[in-house]
Amino acid sequence: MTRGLRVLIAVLALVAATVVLQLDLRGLLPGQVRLEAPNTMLMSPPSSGQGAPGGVSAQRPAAAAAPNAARVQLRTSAAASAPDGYVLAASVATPDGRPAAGATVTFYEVVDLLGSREMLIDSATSDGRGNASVVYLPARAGSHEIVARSTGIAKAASGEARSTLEATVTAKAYAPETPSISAFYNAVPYGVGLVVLAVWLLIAFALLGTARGVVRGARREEEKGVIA
Amino acid sequence: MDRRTRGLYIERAVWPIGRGDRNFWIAVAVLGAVVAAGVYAWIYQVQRGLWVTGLNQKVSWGFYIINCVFFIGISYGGAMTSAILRLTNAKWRAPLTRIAEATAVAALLVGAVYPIVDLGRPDRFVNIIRYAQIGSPIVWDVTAITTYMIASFVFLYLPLIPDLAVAREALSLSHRREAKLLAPVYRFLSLGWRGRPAQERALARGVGIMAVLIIPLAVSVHSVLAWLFAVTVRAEWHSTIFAPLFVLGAMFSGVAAVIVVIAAFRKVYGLQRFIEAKHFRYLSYLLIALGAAYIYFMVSEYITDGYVFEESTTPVMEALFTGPFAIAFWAFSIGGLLLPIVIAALPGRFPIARAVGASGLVIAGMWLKRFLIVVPGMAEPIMPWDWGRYSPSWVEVTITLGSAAAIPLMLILFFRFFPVMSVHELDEVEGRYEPAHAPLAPGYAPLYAGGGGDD
Repeated sequence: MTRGLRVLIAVLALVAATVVLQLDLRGLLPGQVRLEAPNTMLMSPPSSGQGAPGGVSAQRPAAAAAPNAARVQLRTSAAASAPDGYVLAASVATPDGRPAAGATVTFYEVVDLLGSREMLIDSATSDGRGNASVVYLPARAGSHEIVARSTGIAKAASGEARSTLEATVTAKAYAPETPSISAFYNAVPYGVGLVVLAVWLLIAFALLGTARGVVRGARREEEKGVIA
Repeated sequence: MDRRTRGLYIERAVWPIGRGDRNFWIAVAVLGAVVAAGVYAWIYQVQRGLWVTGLNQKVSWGFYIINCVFFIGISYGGAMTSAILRLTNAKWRAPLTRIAEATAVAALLVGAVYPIVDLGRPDRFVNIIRYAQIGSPIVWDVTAITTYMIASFVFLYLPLIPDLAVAREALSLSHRREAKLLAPVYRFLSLGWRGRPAQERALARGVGIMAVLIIPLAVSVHSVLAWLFAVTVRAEWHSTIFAPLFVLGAMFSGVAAVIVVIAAFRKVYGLQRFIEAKHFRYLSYLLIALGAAYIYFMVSEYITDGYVFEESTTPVMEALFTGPFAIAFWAFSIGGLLLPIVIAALPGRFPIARAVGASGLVIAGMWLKRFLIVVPGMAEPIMPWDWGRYSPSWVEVTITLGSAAAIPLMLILFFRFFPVMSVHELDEVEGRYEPAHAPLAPGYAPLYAGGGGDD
């Protein structure tokens, strides 16, 4: 083996080692599969506790709440203006029952997206009576499980309440504005289709035309042979 | 060219047909085992779902998309090399075109499988056709790849017709059992080729059409692959330069792969007399030109993004230049881009070893570059959450290795049935053979002096 070749092999080995280190290929033995934890910023796995299905606004207490947890009650009602959707209102109280002002109440909807998880709706800060509310316009009609969770109350753990919202008013489906060049857009598929068709015809012509020419050439020769 | 040189050339071109010595079967067994491991890993994934891979909610494109782009790029290089050499009527192309075209088809067959592997549920591939949305880049991709695949097969087959006749004639003298079995196949596929002027005209027209057509087709395939990325709003992907950058990258890695494959077949099939150092030198020039152009495009991309420090692209650039992907980025930039150009460009001895070494670095580097395109672009959060992380699982690594082994396996199986070098091309560029007493053709004169290359 020449010296130059040895140097090249060494460089290649170095690059391969770099790739291995960079890709973090350690622990790739069968069965060792590492997955990232799902994102918890906007979506989070739901808390335990299942409520009764149905009902216009069925209040359900949080399951197995901590003794010093804030008390949260959740109500849903139609908004003052119907197209706005629904008001999700939570009342937050300290563990001894006094209204908790300044608590952050975050509202979620339990959704089934790559598994059951919570979708953030919005958050609000409770007023002097411990009330916090947001307006929610769901994307689809039907039953929605809503979760309200309070944080930020001194000497109290996070409290939670759940409710089922039966929605009949929903947000309009997203429809982008028609761009001024939409006529051009609409024509593009036909133009592209014609080009693709022309290419396929050309390929067919190249293949079949050549085959025909070669076979004919062979036949002509055979015929000449017979005549001779 | 004289009769004897042509005879030697044909003998070498058809030598592997029907021949299976011990080394052949060892190669088939080893490569077949790696491919089988890849197939097992894929079946394992189909049975259990994509959770067995390292793909996750944030980085949902990984090895499979990297490999798809990489292998289709390799294919592109093979097709382009052959088409350009034909169209420019390069006199030295004869021993190379067949290997380049076969490499193009083999790499394309491997690359085209990856979108199905990435789907997780292969049965859902039918939905892309059943519920095709013309506005979806996936539909563009399937259309472009299918068209390119058909064109590649035709581009491989047409120049093969006269050589099948040569193989037919050569094997008619053989008493081997394989020869008897293969004779009717060659007779059918060669379409009764006798080298008559009418046949030559028909073939020249067909090959000419395909050589012209394959270039825009290959460009379209890689452009569509690039648009799969560029039409998203992700940082570093949403770029106007992406399609030409992909096309150039494909040519760069493809030519490198062709050099490696040609060197391997030259060595194993004893083609040293016909594939000489000059062939590698010319291909190295092509490699250097493509590498220089790729550097220009890459610098142009980064300087445009980096100068304005756009909010969306800056984090990805930081991750590439100084962040968690810096080692891979600089390994690619230096080891996979600059170093190979220097190795290939330096004058001196061992042109073949240097060309092969440089090509090996380019192939590894360009795979890494695809990794650096796919993963950081996916990992960067465009929503308010953390950066994603990606570690391939054993399933992805095994499928990757299996698919990589499938290319040489397909090539050695293909060349067991079809001539490894184009005899017809040789006649075309050198002219029909002269009587035995005619002076030797200058290009092949050293063969009789025991030469055949300067490496």
